[in-house]
Amino acid sequence: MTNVDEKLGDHTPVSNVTQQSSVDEYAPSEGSASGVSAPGEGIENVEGYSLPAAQAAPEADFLDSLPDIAWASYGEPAEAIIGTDDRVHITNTTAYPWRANASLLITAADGSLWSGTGWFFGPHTLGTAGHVVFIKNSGVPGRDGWVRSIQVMPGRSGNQFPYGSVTSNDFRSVTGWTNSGDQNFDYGAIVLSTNLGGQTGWFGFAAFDDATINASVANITGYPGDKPAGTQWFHGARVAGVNAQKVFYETDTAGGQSGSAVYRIDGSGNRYAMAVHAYGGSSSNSGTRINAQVSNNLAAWKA
Amino acid sequence: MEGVTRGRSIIRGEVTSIDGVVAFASVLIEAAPAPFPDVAALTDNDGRFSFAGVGPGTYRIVINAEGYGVVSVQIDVGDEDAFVRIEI
Repeated sequence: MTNVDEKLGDHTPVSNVTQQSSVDEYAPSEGSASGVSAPGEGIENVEGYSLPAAQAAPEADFLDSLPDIAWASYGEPAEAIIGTDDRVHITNTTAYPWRANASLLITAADGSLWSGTGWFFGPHTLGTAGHVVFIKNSGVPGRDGWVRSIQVMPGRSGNQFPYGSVTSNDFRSVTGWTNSGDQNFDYGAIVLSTNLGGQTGWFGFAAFDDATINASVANITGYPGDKPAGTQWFHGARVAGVNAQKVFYETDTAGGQSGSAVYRIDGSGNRYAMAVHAYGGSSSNSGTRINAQVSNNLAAWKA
Repeated sequence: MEGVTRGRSIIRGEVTSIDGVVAFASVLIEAAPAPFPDVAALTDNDGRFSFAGVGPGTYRIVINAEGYGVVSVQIDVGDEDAFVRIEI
C-alpha cells in the first residue's frame, strides 16, 4: 500500500519505477512524420461519418446519478455501443492524429494477455487507463499489481506497424486507483525509453471547465477487440454530461479501447484530451475527466 | 483490467473450434449489468480467458478470432463463478 500525500489525496502519483519527470507543457504536436488529417468543426473529418443532429441535453440530476444507477441496478445489460454502431475504420493511420494513438498488448503479472489503447501526450509518454497499467482486485491469484509489460504499437493498422513497436515496463498511476481501485481515479501513463512520440506527434491536454466539455464532441479513436485485429476505429458524439471526476458520452467504443483519449477539437483545429476512456455503460460510456489534479499529474509524467 | 465491479465472481471461459482450442482470440464484454472496463482479453495457449470481479446478472461476451469471425454469447452469472465453453 502506497502512502497517500495529504494534499494530493487519491491523486497522489505512484510508479513502478523511482524516477519522475516534470515538464510544464500541455500543447499538442503533429510530430516529425509527414501527413496530417485536417479536422472538421469540433469533430474529425472522417469519410463515412457525420455527427447526428443535436439531441436534448440530459438533466443534470440524472447525469450525476448515472454511474450509481448503473451499478446498483442489475437490469438491462449496459452496452458500449450506444444505439447503432457508428464507428468508422481508419485506414490512413500514418497521418496525424491517428498515428499518435497506439495499439497496446498488455502482459499482466500472471502472464495473461490483454489489449488496450494509449495516446501520446509527449515524446516518451502515453496516456491510458489506470486499469491498463495496474490491475486491482481481480480475484485471480498473481494477476493484481503493475502489469509485467506493455507492447506499444503506434499507428498500427492490422498487420502493418508503420512506427514499429516499443515494449515498456515503466508505468504511472495514482493511489486512488492502485490503493483503492476507485474508477474516479482510473488513469495512468506508459513511459517509453525512446522518443517515438516525437515522430508520431501527440495530443494536448487540459482541464477544461464544465461548459466547455458539455459543448464538445467527444472524439475517440482506438483499437476495439470486436474488429479485425489491430485495426483502428473512430467515432465522435456529443458529450452527454460531466461531473467533477468523469465525463459521459455517447461515443461508441468496445473492449480494447480502454485508455483512448477522449478529445475535443478547438477552433484552431488543435486536439486536446479532456478525459481518458475507461468504461462501457448503458446509456453512455465514460472516462476519467482530466481535471486540475489529473492535468497536473499528466504534466509531471510527461517526458 | 478488473477491479471496479462490485461483484466478486469470475467468468472463466475456453474458446474452441473444430480444429481444437483457439489461442490469441480477442474476448470482450459487450454488455453487462453495470459499467465495465473497456479492455479485451486474449485467450492463452489453451484457449482460456477470465474476467474477474463481475457481479450477478446477464453478460454478453464477444469472441473475435482471426479466420473464424465474430461470435457473441450470452451468459447468466449468479453469486458464484461461471464457466463458459464457446465453440466458434
